[in-house]
Amino acid sequence: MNKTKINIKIFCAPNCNRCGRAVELVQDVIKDIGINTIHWRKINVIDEIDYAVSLGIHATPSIVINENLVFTASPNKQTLKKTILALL
Amino acid sequence: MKEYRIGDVSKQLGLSTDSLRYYEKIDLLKKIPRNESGIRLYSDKHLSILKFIQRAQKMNFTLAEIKDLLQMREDPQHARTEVRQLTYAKLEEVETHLQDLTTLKNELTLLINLCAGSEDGCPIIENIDSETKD
Repeated sequence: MNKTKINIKIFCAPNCNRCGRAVELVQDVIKDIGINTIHWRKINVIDEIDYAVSLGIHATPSIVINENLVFTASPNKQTLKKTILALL
Repeated sequence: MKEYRIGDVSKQLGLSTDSLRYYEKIDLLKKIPRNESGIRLYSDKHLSILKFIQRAQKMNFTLAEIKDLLQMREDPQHARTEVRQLTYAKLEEVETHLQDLTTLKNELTLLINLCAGSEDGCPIIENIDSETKD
């Protein structure tokens, strides 16, 4: 069984509809992959703006995987899944 | 070669004529050539030096420091060791300042994008509002 840990952070902003969809997408993909070493967290970009800027985030939603900014705006499900599987 | 009168330089660079005369007086600028009527005639090279002075002043360098840096600018190969060291030190200051500016720029870009991307107004302003009310 693969024990590689993956941390996904979804940077969102208040009143950002696309952010909600990005969160749903991440949850969906994690469910599809079906292993418990993938953790995710939703972060309000305004609460952690210094951290967001240090990661190079310029817009929301942004998806950070293992401290690397991987997507700005939501990718399609297949792309996200492929990206995560490549890290396992 | 183009020549500019003090008023033209003042207008072009946004420096007062008093400052321009003062820079010459303290030898930040070498004596500006005059025409037969005694009117100062600045060249493009003088303008370039003055722009350098303005940039350095924006970085809060003192006029004494700027004077040393100008020596380096004039003849880098033969600059004194202290002037060379000062130039290194000032380069480090500029680099730090540049990093701060880049971070600020990135932060402002993010804030602008958040406002532009929101369908219901600007979350930043709302956030500031709610903090003010607390």
